[in-house]
Amino acid sequence: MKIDEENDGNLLVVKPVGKLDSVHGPDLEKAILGAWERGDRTLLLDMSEVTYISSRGLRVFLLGAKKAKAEGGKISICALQEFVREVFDLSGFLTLFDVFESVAEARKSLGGGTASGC
Amino acid sequence: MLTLVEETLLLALDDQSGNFHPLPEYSLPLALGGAVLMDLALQDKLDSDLQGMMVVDTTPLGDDILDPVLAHLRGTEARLQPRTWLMRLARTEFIKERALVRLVGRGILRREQKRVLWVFGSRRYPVIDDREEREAKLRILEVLLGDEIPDPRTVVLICLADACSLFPWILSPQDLPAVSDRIHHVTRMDLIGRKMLKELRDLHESVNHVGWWGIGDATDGLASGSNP
Repeated sequence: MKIDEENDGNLLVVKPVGKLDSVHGPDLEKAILGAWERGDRTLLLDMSEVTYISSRGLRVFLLGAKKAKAEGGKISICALQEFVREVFDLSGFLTLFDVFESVAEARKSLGGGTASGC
Repeated sequence: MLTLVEETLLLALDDQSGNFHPLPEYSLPLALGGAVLMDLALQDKLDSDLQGMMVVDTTPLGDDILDPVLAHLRGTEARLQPRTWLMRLARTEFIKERALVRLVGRGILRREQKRVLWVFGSRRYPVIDDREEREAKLRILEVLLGDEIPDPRTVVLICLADACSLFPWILSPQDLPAVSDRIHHVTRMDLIGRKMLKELRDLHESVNHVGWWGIGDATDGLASGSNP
């Protein structure tokens, strides 16, 4: 799965592209864990190009939220597409994360400096 | 690590007597069927979305409970009908029997054969090493009594415990009413767990109305627990 990463001050913006399912979900999981191990503790997941999410993809977010809470980090989410937002809502995940409508709004709120918005 | 099938069985057993708790009829076989499907999902063999469940990988795991089911799932329809599979799995004995054999083999349970009136035999499985059971209960309690974010495995275990009404044996009478909202919140967190819980509840309703053999179809091959 293509996953772009961009450092913006203390914020790491992680942008997966495509479907978060049993094939590609583990790629995002690896990216998040890798960022964590490098010491990036404030992550923004830009979901603007995620078109589909399955149960397996959802588990990546649950594991991420658990890790962030346990280790004093923060994972925020922005730009959910409608289908993905519906899955998050049904699963109660909209209350697990700070969710923003756009990247620009998220960066502004999280103290990011530069960059492109959605 | 124990499978969800084994953990569910441990939670369903009375530690001292080795008998199963008096659960609603058929709830344990149905929950064990759900546990198999959820074990397969956690091992990335099944996946699900809002439209349903699908098989994503049929490579064997080397597990004598999960692999026969996986083999039967191979070549099945693109989207699984969870209800059909839950009924098929619930009507077989091999899941429970093999899981009990494994738990005895690990030294967690002891198998006792008891004769009643010198004729009828009954088996029971007192717990001899309760560490795994305590660990499973602790995981559940930490999530339900606190604000701990659960891991996916604990989410689906809570779904299974809910499906076969095990909470009276996990939580105190004082805690039970206080956690119902929390149980509802947690059981939403996994799409497969959520789907299984809904199907299991619907099946309990159906069984209560039309009886066990009034619903679903025959087991075709899974009944004997034989490998395909």
